[in-house]
Amino acid sequence: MTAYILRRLLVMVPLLWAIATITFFLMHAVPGGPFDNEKPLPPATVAALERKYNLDGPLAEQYLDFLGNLVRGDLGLSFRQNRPVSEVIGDGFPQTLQLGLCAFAFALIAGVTLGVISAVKQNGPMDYIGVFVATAGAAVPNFVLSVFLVLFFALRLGWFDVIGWEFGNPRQMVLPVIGLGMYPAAFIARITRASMLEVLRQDYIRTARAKGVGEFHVVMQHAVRNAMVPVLTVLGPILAALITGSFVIEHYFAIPGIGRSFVEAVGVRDYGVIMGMTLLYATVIALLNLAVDISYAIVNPRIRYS
Amino acid sequence: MSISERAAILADGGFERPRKQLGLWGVAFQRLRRNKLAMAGGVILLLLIALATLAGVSEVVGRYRPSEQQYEEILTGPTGSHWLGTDNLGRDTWARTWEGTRISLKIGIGTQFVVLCVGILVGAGAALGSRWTDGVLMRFTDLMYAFPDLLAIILMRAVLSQRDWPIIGTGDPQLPGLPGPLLQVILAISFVGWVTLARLVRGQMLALKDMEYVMAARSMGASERRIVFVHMLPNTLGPVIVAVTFGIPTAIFAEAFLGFIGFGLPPPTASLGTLVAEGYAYVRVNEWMIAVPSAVIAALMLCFTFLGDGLRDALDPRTRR
Amino acid sequence: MQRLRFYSLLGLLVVVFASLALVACGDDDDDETGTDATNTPGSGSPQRGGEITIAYAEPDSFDPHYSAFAQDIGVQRMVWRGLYRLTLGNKTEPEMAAAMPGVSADGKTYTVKLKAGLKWSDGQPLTAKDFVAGIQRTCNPDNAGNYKDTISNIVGCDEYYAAAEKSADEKKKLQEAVGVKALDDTTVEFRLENPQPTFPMILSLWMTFPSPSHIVTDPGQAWPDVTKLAYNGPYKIASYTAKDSAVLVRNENWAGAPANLDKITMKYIDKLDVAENAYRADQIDLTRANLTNLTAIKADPKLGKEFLQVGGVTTRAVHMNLKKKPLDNPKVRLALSQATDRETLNKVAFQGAYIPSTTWMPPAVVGGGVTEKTFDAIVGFNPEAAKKNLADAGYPDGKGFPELTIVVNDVPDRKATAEFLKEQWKKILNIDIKIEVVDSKTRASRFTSEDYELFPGGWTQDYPDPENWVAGLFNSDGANNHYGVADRQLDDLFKKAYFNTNDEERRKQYQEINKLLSADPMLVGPVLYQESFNYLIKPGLKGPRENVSPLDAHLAGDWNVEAWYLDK
Repeated sequence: MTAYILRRLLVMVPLLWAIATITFFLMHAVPGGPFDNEKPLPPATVAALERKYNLDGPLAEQYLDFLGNLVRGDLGLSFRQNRPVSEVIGDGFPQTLQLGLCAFAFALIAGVTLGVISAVKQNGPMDYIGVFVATAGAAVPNFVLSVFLVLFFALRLGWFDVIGWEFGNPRQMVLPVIGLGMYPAAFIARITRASMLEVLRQDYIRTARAKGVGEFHVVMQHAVRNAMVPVLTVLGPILAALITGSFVIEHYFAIPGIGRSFVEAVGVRDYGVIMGMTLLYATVIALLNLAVDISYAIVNPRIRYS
Repeated sequence: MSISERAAILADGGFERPRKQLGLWGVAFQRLRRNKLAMAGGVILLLLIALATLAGVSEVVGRYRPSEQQYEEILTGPTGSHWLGTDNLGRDTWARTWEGTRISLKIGIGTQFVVLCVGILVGAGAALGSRWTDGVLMRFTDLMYAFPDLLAIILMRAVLSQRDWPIIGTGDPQLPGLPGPLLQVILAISFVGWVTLARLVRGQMLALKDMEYVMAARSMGASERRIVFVHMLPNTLGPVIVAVTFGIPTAIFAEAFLGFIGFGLPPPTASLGTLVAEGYAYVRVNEWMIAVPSAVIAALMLCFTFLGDGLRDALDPRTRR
Repeated sequence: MQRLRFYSLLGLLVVVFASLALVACGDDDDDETGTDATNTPGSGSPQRGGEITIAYAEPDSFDPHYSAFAQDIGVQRMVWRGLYRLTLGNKTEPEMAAAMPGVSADGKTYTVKLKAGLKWSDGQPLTAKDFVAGIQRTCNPDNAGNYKDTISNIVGCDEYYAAAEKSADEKKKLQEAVGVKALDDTTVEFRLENPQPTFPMILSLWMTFPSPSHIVTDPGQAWPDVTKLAYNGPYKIASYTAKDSAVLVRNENWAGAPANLDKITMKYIDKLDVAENAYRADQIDLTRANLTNLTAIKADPKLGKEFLQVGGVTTRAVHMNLKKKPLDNPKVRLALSQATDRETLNKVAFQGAYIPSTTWMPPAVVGGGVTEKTFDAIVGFNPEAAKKNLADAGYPDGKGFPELTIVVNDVPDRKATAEFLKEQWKKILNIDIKIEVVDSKTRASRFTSEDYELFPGGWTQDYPDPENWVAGLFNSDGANNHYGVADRQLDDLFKKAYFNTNDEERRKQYQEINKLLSADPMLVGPVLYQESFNYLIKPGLKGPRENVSPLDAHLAGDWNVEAWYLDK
């Protein structure tokens, strides 16, 4: 197993190199450059700026420079923010991570709870409510959901703040977390419910019940545990999607994460930030994929990695 | 947004072997017909498609030309003449929503078409080709799988945008009904979207390769081509159809996301995404502008989800109902 | 189970519409608090103390010798000041200087005496050397200042700026050759290539602000972190968190009357609709208003009173690439202009926020009795004349007219403009145009490579003089002339006007140029409107509204931030 993990980690190096290369040429293929301003700069100024940021050479040369710097761990300067890309990412990533993890926790807890309750109380009012929330949560894009959350809960009722992110302050955390986590919560609820229904029909549950084990104990000890297997397998992609998918939420709640930097970076051709974020996100995804594969092995002993 | 797509396949045990082969389609159709929710989803979906199509060809249903501007009534709510109100240029929300529905469905289906072609090609190539082909194709798939998908979509959209190329750009010629910018959005969303399908197809094919009936066919001297096209491909279709059904609304969501962050379609073309983005800008002045396209997105999402659930249950021999 | 989910589908639709209904009537409760907001300008005298939070767009750079963006300049002006200042009435007055400059007989040498005892925020003396360093930084090839062209008239600036590839020694020599010198600690001398009457005005602009040469020892050196810098304006930057906020506190060493507010927190918010939400939730005190919601803001009993609209110094026009056929034909341009109903455009696309106009230079700048409507008789909305002119140009009823493309940014305003023009021109002239939406970098690169036919663009003034509306833009050798404009008459007039020290005469010359640009032969393309600036200001915050100036870079009254105060 250790050898397998090590090998997978090693494979990540060429993987990230390939992603960096694709991204490099893609982003330079986007028309327009970082110094094409709305109010145009004199050509001499543009030339001077391109020289300052080392953008004046041929693309192949820039690529080699970039690779060389990357090996030394230098992602270059952000044109837009005039500071090292590593600093841009270092400042913003904690907030993005906090938001992603909180949304993940919310999605997991809310999703599993809803799913279990509606499976146990199948066709009861709780099931109705659970299924309704699960369906509704997945039916609108998160930016539409956020608009309505803000208009209603923050502006009409005044329960929450409209902007900001202070870890531990529920006034600022609740809406963005729900906005981001609702869709995966709904998704987890659907899977949990289906899986629970399947498990509850199994013979060993019937046996446990027949043996006179309390219903609560049956559900919690036997059913939920087994029903979690399919849920476990989707958690990796969900967590990756939450950490790397917070653009709109960060933007709408003015959260100083790096998610909102990306759309802006593409918009202003901030090559360093585009590259830095792509590599960071790709690393997160690759690591989580690895975690998923390992968890498969743990959950399903028939799978052996060598 | 592609959580559902990727995860649905993982959760559904996309790599399970279908156990029963005979009459699969007939049985599946019977099961689907008995699934009321899936049927309701399908019927509503057909209704939406019919309305959207009719609105495009018939003035009775469409009522207005989607880009027609009437400056006397701007940013109104529902009135007798404008059932769902008007936007900032006095365009009719009813007509624009149906245009948006048509375009969004085109994007959803178009994306899945591209995804399907690439996914089957890569997946089948990997499963049936040599060890070396499999290795190369799967490494490539892994690479695209690790590509942050929203980042890739935004970047591809920016790369493809505004080229004077024919067909996918704004230059001549253009495909009828699929103008360049629409294809740009489709290609951007497909750029990483095919990965899950390729993995799914490969898994299915590898499983089928060792199935008894395939071996039987082979031992009876069936040609390799016949085995692939007659025995294997049709039997991978079930999970693929399910994946595509979930993929369509996912692509519609992705397009809405692109529209929202400003990488959508050029005006005056309306997609549900650009309509939501416009509606968002005017949300305090006329909430109908965001409500109507959002409701249609929600309806499409639900219909496709229910239909997909139904198809999965119908096509999966394990479910007993 | 199936039935259950079917009901949930119905239930969902009910809830979607119910929540919409709630949102729809969501604004009603503002009435309760709407009555106590009063806005009597100038009521009460300024009070010291207090803190405010304002919505701000994150600056690209804090370096005044580099910046090009309004939000950069706005904050720079709060923390640094130049030798002169422009009053609310556009008069040039001494700020760090002790008096107006002495000018040599040939008009090419300006001598400025500083106030005595000037200090940086860190207590170090602020001397003539720092002002010299500021100019040198703007002209420095490694710093590559965006606004170098504004001070190109200083001897040696262009040569220094072009020396990027030269050796350090040569650069040093060229740096010393720049025509700005500290004669002693309190005297700066500027030498110009040509006499320029607007030069003292330029000495009030950001690219001439002093550089703390005790911290930034070499002009090519990167601008330090804002917390390590020294300031000479009414405020100083106490902290800065990228993507989040900056905090400004009073600079006790500022040479003018001390600023009133203790602390200004600038909260960085990308979009105005988000800022408006935060304003409504009382999280911020001042923001630009979100134009797409203008009707709702004006109709709101509370917000309506807190709303401020001022005429700005931005002109919007449909630029036409005069090198592309058939736009080189003045009759075609005239027909397109006459087929454009500016009043209706303003009403529908901008909810009446702007001022329909046909003059390129804003009336306040060009003078000579020109108003927004002066050229309406020639180029204003006139469908019949439009059709006739298009026919005269060889395209009767639009026949044979090529499909032109209009390139727009993804901004609701611009998109609406393009959609409006497409529809109108089709209806009136029976011609088709194609709309291409690009992001602003692509739009800008298409512009500089002159790869466009039409685009809704315009100009925002840097300093209040007509020359700023022509220089570099429309003279045929102008560095930013990507409009395909090459007009002999304009070139001749401009050459005469630019270095003309007779103010009255040169203004007349600019008025003639303005006519060439706006009306006949309409070199700019159809002018559409003068943009206004729109703000929301909490009633307790005084100053922004009272000190509004066309020079404001990003927010109302930001040119005079020291005068802001809280009326308790």
